[in-house]
Parts: sequence; structure tokens; C-alpha cells
Amino acid sequence: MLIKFSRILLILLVILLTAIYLPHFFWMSFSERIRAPYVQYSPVIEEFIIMDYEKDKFYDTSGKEYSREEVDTMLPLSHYRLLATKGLLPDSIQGLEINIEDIRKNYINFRIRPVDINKPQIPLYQLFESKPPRLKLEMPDEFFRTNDRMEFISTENNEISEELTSSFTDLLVSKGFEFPAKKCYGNPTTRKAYDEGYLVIDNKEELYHIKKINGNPFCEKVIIPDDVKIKTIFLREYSLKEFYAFVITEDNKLYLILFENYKFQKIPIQNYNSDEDIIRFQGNLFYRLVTVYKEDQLKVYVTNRKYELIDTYEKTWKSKMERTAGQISTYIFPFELSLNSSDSMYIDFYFSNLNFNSIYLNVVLLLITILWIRKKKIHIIADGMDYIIVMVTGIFGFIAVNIFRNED
Amino acid sequence: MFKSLLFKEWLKIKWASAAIFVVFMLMLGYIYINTSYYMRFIEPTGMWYNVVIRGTIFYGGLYIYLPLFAGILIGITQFIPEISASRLKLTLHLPMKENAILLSMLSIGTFTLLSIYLISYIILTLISTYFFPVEVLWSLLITTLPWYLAGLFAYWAVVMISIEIKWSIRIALLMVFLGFLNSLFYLDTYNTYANSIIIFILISLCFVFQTFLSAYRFRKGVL
Repeated sequence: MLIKFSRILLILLVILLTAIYLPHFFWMSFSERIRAPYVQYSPVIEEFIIMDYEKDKFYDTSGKEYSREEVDTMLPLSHYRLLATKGLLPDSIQGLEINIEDIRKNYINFRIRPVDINKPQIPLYQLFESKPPRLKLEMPDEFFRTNDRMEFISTENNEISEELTSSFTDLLVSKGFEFPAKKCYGNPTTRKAYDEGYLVIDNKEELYHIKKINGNPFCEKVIIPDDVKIKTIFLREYSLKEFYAFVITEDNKLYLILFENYKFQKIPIQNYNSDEDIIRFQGNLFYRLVTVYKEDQLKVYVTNRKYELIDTYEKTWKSKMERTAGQISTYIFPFELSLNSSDSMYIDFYFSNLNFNSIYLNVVLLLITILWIRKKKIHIIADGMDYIIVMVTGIFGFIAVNIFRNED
Repeated sequence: MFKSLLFKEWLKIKWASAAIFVVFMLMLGYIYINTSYYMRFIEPTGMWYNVVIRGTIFYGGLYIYLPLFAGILIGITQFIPEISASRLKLTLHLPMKENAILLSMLSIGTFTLLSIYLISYIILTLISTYFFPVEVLWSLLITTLPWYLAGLFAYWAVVMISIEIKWSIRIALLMVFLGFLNSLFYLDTYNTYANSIIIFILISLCFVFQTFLSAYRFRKGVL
């Protein structure tokens, strides 16, 4: 009994490992790079420009093709450096006078990947001085945590700095903050124009903006609209000072928190799944461009500066599984396992591509197994378990039961 | 009988265990010196930033593979002598149940490894708590767990492969174990196994059973 049980466990391990490694080797050998086209919106012709680097073609939505140089001039806000060097930068666009300083200030490019959301974090945070005396942002000598207060720990001696702790805790409590915080979102880097501290969700799911100004605490309550359930926040300091942060909600909506009264500005995108899709948020003097990348599709939403939708563009392509290698893989593997995922930093057993195309191969492998076992003159009935395993798990089970045969 | 069996097993692995213990201590000493060096040279704030924000594993480097190395070494020193000249055959003839004999043999190796691992775990805890807040320690405990698990698993794997008599199965087992061990060393940053470590531990525990399967084949083949 113990022997049988041990063998079944071993077979399960082999199935687990072959389901991880065989598809992995298959994809390493046969997968091809899928390059999604890069789509921009031209303020010159007020039309999408599609840059297909795979075919080295540039065209607009009507199919009209352009040379690379023409594209440069139609997207002056993206290629301003190149155009300025060549002396081709226009003085005005759509009647608005432009200069490099304005272009640069209004330029925003931010990407949110699922892996940016699903990643481990040590719950310790650095609160920068927002008004540094020497103007340059400097690393603070404390990290903070939140428990029943906002505790600052000095990096010098790994001890709690009581003075900072009590000044921040007192202010937060007086503003109605309830400890402990559930999440703290900040942007701990000195490579930014200025510092906006942290957006913190307290124990009552309320949102607070916390900063350190001249060594003193600053705390402001941010009103979350009723229909917004925050999943995650990306706080980013852009020179434009139009918004504090990007907010992704539990129902996969995208918002900005504006400088203007902490207003939540909804971005008109649809059909976004924050666990699988990548979002690219781009801004320039005239437009906001939001691209939602899926495995087999991209959809671009262009809005004016008031976030009113102007136009959309959609392009699809064959996903990995729809291409030849993907189709072949479904006839070989009944399912696939992977330890890592492009959507998460965590190691786990990611199950995917369950399909029934492999049933033909499963039947063939089952027949081979029966023939082999019959040749060895082992009880066919006693091996029923093996047959079921081969039938269900196909090539993985076939390898497992035939390497580690029943010894009875 | 049980006691003398344990004593016999301990005699085989005592020098290897002592050597492993010394290497562990030297390595932990190195981690301490290295961390304190960086605390001075990039300043505590810089070091904390690297560890907390950028995900540098300050106890990484060679230490990652040390538990694995220990498991393999203990397995080899304990079971290779049994296999050469089929001494295990004699051992299994002792007036005890065969599986009980095997379990006692495994338990002494497992216990030795666990003791070394536990001591190193505690020292690592002390080093972390000396330099960093407790949050870093929690992440350290989760991050190092797969490495220790790999060590224990490797020990059991070496035992199984040693007492396996069929060469074809030995090679197959080796492939399986390498595949599993590889899955414990995905090291992008800290805490990556937080969601799945329990499953990895359960899978490893299931594999203590495999030794019975190999022992069964050994008895069938040799006795």
C-alpha cells in the first residue's frame, strides 16, 4: 500500500514538473516575438499614425503610407528634439505657439504593467522633505511604518525617532486618520522634479495625502467618490503639476487625482483588465493618449486636455496561441503550468491553456502504454490508475507512468 | 538497537556535519562583515534603500546554495558507504522493521541538517535585526525558506538515488529532482515564494515517501 502510494506521489511530481518544463522548452524553441504597433495621434493632421516596426511601415487610419521623416514632422511633440536639431520644429501647431520648454513640461509617458501591481513589497517607506533647503531632493535618514501610529525609524541606529513619530501621528489623528494604514503609495526616488509624499489608505478605507514640509507634517483628507473602490495608486510627480497620481479601481477603471481639489478625473477607457493588460498613458500639449495592450489587441483612446474622448483606434493580431506554434502546442500539451508569470512577480503554479485538442495524442499514448504493460504481462486491471492518468494528463502522465512503472 | 543505529549513522556524518557547520558560520560572518561594510560606505540610508526599495538580498550570494550543498554532502557521506559493497543489505537485516531502519537513518540526517539550518536561521535573524527593522526580517524568513527546503529535499533525493538499484531509474530520479530543485531558485527579488511556499513544502514532504519506494526496489533487487 505504502509502495503504491509513494509511486502515485512520484508520478504526480513528474507530471507537475513535465507540465512546467516541456511547454517551457517548447516555447523557448518556437515562440516568436510579437511586436505590437506603436500608435500616436498627430496634432498636425488630427489623425492616428500607426508605426508598424515589424513591417517597417507608417500609415494613418485611412491606410495612407508615410515615410519616417514625414511621420517625424506629423508628430512634432514626440520628435521635437530631432526636429529642432534639423531646424524643422514648427513655430505653432493648431494656432498655438510652441516652444521646447512647453513641450517638455507637458510631456508625460507612464506605463502600468500587471507586474507593477502584483509584486512583493516590504512595508517600509521613505518620506522625503518636500521643500529641501538646498532645492535638490535628498534621501531622508528615516523610514516609516504604520502600526498604531506613524513610526519613523532612524537608519543610523535602527531606533524609533520619537519626535517625528509623535508630530506626524498627532496631526494624522487630528485629521481623522485611523491607524493602521492599509496601503501607502509613494514614489521614493530622488530622480524627480519635486516630492508629493504619500497617498495613504487608512483603516477605514479613507484616503489621505501626507507630506513633510520644512520638517513638519502635512496631512490632507482626499474625498474618494462613492463609486470608486481603489485597487492601487501610482503617485508620480510630473513637472506639469496637473495630477498627483494614477488610480486603478477594483472594477478596472482608470482615474487621475488632480491637483485641483484632489478631484478624481475618470479616463474614458473600457474593457481594461489590470491583472492582464498593460496601460500606457501619454500626454502632450494637446492630447492625452491612453493605450490598453492586450495579448492580441491594442486599443488607443485619445482625449483632449479636459479628458473628453476625441477618437479611438483598435488593432488586433494573432495571439501566441492562435499562431502555428500555439496551435501545435494544443495538440501536444493538454495544459501548461508555469512557475512565473509575466503578470506577477510572485512564483506560483500558473495553470494555462487547458484544451481538448490533445485528446488524439492522449489516446495514442494510452494505447502505447497498454501495449507496453501487456508485453510485461502485468495485470491490466491493476494498472487502471495509470490509464486514467495518461488519458487525463496526456504526454505528462505518459512519461511519468512509463518511467516509474508499477512494480507489482 | 535504535540507539546504536543512530550512533552508527552519526559516526558516518559527524565530520561532514562539523565541516558544514564551520562553513555556515564563516559564511554568516561574511554576511555580517559585508553588510556592515556597505552600511559604512553607502551609509545606512543607502543600504536600507537598496534592501527595502530596490529589493537587494543582502544575505544572498553564495549563501543561497549553502543549504543545498549541505544536504547533498550529508546524503553522500551517509549513504554512499552503505551502497558500496551493498552494506545496506546488512543494515536492513538488523532485527528491526526495514522501513523503521530506513526512517531512523533518514531522521538522523534530517535532524542534523535541520539543526544546522535552525542555528544559521537564528544567526541570520540576529544580523538582520541588528541592521534593519523587523519588516526586513519577515521578508528574510520567507525569502530564505526555499533555499533551506532545497537543502532538505536534496538530502532525501541523494538518499533515494543512492539506494535505487536500477541505473535507468536513478537517472530519471536525478532529472526529476534537478527539475524540482531548480524550481526553488527563482530569485528576482525578496518574498517571491510568499504565495506558494506552502505548496513547495508539501510537495517536498511527500517525497520522504519516495525513499520507501527505492528501498522496496533495493530489497527486491538485492536481498
